[in-house]
Amino acid sequence: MIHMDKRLQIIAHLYAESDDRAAFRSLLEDDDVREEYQALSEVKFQLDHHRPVRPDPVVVDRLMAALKKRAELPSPPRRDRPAMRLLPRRPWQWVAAAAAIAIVGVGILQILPDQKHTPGVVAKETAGQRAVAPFVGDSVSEFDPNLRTVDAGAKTPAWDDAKDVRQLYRRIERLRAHNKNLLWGEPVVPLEMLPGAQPLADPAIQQAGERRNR
Amino acid sequence: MHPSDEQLVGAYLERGDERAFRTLVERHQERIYGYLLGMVHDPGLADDLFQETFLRVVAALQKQRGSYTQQGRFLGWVMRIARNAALDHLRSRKKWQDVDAHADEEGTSFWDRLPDDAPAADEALHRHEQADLLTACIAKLPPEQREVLLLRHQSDMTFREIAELTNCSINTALGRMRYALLNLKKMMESSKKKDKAEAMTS
Repeated sequence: MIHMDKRLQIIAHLYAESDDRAAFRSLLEDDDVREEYQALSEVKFQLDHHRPVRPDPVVVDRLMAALKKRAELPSPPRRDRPAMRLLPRRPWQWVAAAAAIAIVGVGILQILPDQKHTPGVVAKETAGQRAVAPFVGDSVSEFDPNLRTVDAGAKTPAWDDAKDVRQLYRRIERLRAHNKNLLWGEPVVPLEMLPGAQPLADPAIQQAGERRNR
Repeated sequence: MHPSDEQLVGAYLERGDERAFRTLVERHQERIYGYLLGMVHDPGLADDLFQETFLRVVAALQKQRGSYTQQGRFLGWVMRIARNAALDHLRSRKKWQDVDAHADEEGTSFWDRLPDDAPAADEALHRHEQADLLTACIAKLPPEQREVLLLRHQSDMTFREIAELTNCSINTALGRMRYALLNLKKMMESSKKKDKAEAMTS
């Protein structure tokens, strides 16, 4: 009984897939192995000389035509993209979203100007008398002692629309010039006591001066 | 100097060079067609499977180029596609049964234990010429012995490549080859004896 390994080894030698010539010679010393090797060699010889088969040339032409036709066809339509989910699906996605929002928020706070340090214009005190600072377009806050003064050449912040402030300043100046004889803090005077006031035509209406004198 | 398989594939994919691909097909047609014909025994069907194989090859190359280079030879990669095409057909006809899963390392499988059907084969084979006789005997081999024989002789694959392709050990592939050769020898001798007997009677 030939060991199976030897039978497999002679197949490997028969098909030249083993280079161990010494092992091959020792295998052939066994009569049974040698006999089987010769028998298989005869069959292999016939197989080696078996005529090769090939497809009909028309088949290759047909194949090439099919490939060409396939290449000319438009590509199949793409499938619709699945609807996008706005909400995260997994817990870590929620955490990531919260972290992203926090980072963006901090970034915005860093970019925005600090409201507590907004530069303003303060009237400069000259000789103990409050003088109105020349208007330079910056916001005016005369009543905040913490505000620092700025020079005329200081830049106006982009967010500060000085047009309204400028108009308000001009109205104040006009009213002040018109009422320069008036003093702030005088007692209330009835209208009829003002120079050029007309007496009331309706007797039912009592004048304020008479009411006070009663 | 002949361009390599990889160069021909590149020429076809990158420049649409049809002649390059035709060269590739013609270079390997005997190996692939010989295997397919040996598996299905029908030239028309083998033609269809041959075409199907290369259509699958092109589709696979366009989808993921280079998948064959990772596996080594282009032919081995194409043979895997050809084998799948053949098995798809045979399974649809229920002519292929995966009964060899428990074959031992020596290659003795369900098919190897089948009784030799050479005498029955002789009835149909004795009128054929020697080459046709051999073809007919190959067709009578158990499927898995026949496949190894075809892959070795028609497709020129090594036993290691055959083992990888058919998902078995090298010893199993060698064992199947041995049984295939022994069975062929028996069938052909039986046929010759039959011819001699007929010649004597006539």
